[in-house]
Amino acid sequence: MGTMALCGRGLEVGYQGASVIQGVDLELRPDEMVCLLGPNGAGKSTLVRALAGLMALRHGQVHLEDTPLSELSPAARARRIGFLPQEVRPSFSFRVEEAVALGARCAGHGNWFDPAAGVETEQAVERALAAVDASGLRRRRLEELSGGERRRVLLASVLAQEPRYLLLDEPSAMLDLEHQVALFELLAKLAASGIGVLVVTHDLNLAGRWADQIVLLKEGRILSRGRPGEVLVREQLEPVFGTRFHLLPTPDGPPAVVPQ
Amino acid sequence: MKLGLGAVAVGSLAMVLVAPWFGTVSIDGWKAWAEWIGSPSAEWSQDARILDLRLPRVALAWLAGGALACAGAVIQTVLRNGLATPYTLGVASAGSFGAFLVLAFPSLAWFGAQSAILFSLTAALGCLALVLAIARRSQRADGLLLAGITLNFFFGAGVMLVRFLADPFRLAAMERWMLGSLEAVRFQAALAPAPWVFAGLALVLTQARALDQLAFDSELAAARGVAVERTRRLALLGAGLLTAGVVAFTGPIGFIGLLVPHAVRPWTGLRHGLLLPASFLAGGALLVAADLLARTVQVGGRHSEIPVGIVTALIGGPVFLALLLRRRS
Repeated sequence: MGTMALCGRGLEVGYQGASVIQGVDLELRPDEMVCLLGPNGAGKSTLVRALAGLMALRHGQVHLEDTPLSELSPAARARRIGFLPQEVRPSFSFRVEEAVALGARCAGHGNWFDPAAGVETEQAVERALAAVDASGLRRRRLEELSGGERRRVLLASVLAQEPRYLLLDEPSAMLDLEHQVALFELLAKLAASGIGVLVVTHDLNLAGRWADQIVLLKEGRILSRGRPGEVLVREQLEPVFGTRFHLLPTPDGPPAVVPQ
Repeated sequence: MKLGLGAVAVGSLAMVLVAPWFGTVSIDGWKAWAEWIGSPSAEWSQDARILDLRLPRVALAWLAGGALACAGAVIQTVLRNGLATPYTLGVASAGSFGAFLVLAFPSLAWFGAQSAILFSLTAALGCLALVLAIARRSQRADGLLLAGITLNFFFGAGVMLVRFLADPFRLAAMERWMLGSLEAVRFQAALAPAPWVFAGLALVLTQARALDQLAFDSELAAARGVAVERTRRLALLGAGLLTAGVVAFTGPIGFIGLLVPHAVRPWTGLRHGLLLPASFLAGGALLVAADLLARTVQVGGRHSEIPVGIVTALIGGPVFLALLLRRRS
């Protein structure tokens, strides 16, 4: 052991019947951005939830650095791993700052009886909102925001946990192109600053442009992984997605992937 | 936001101080309080004695209103539904069913005058145990909501069956029980629900931070280290104790548990560490005020002591509508 990584080995996970994930090994180092791609039903969300410690494992083990995830208290786990599910449905009307403060408090800021902690929470909220360029939204209510603003605020709420590993399930769904690009730029910046970022996405080209590593998942198994230039080739992509692709060269990176 | 809680506390205390000044006769409030606190009861003036008679009732109203409002805030969070009330889970229907058994069939009054209360508590706690068993099996908040509605119908049918079987002469007492009553002439009676209320209150307050996360999103809450199922069960148990403890002594007083959390949230935000105490204080003040109105309003030129459940519904309905409409705009 002794690895600095969030690391799943031999993972097998299922719901009631058959296993959704079978024999998956995946490692996320705290300075890289890994994009997880695959067709619908491949088990991407299940795999991410397993790495976040939210699934009972049938086989295998997730290690957070040297410690098995199952031996960490839920609170200690939450301080190191930030997880953003595909959909977040608040049951009441939250202000942006309230939503982000929830993340800060779970990181241990904001003991109710300690006035200094209130200031710490404030600062954590400010930092997180500034990181996603959403400081101006502070006083707004979540349900008044556009889809893109809302995604950014939710990301800020997870960033306020100050995690070392960030697991995001389709964070760019429903965003327009500009906001998708901005989001991936931000995630790449976070990875460069020493946070491990695992992103589930359907966009091969965004993944190709920003990921350090791409992992292709199909029917619960990893079919291919590597640097974008290694994975974004027809022999790797076509068996996974069951469709044919053109790969067009681009001036400054891996090729653009277009369905035929 | 903590200022909001302070303001509610001051308002609630003021309501408790002032409410006993008024009634069929008004008294000199400050003098009465000074005597009540400072002098032995043998030397009390008429005013202090009237104050002493009214205080148990005010205390019971404050305790009951606070408990129902606080339980409402918890239930709305756990069920993820702003229209949920402490009665949504069937606990109050079960409590009514238990009380009705004794009111309809006096041969069941095995414990004397306390029988209706004890039957009501037993039935309500039995229903709560059922709710908790269902919560253990149902992963989702809406499953729990549907189960609660079903239990409500079930015990509602039980209530109707008892009414159908009862001697018609006893129907009036049952009818009166359903309207809610805060009659208490001794502090002993007024404070009887206190152990239930404080046990429930302590339990829900220990879950306040977990409820904050749960109100936002349950999966995100789980990722943030909240034991979601455990939190739900403990919060339901706490809210159930608050509700069962109150309903057995006062009957099902409506609207406080629905209205107060909605009225308080804009002031306290969604932190349950503030929302739950503020709901308790505001709910207590509101029921004291409603009871004051019920005691003092004159119908046909005389004091008529309208049942307080009617007053809370008559005031609560329009106020709740106004809150909803203001939020839309």
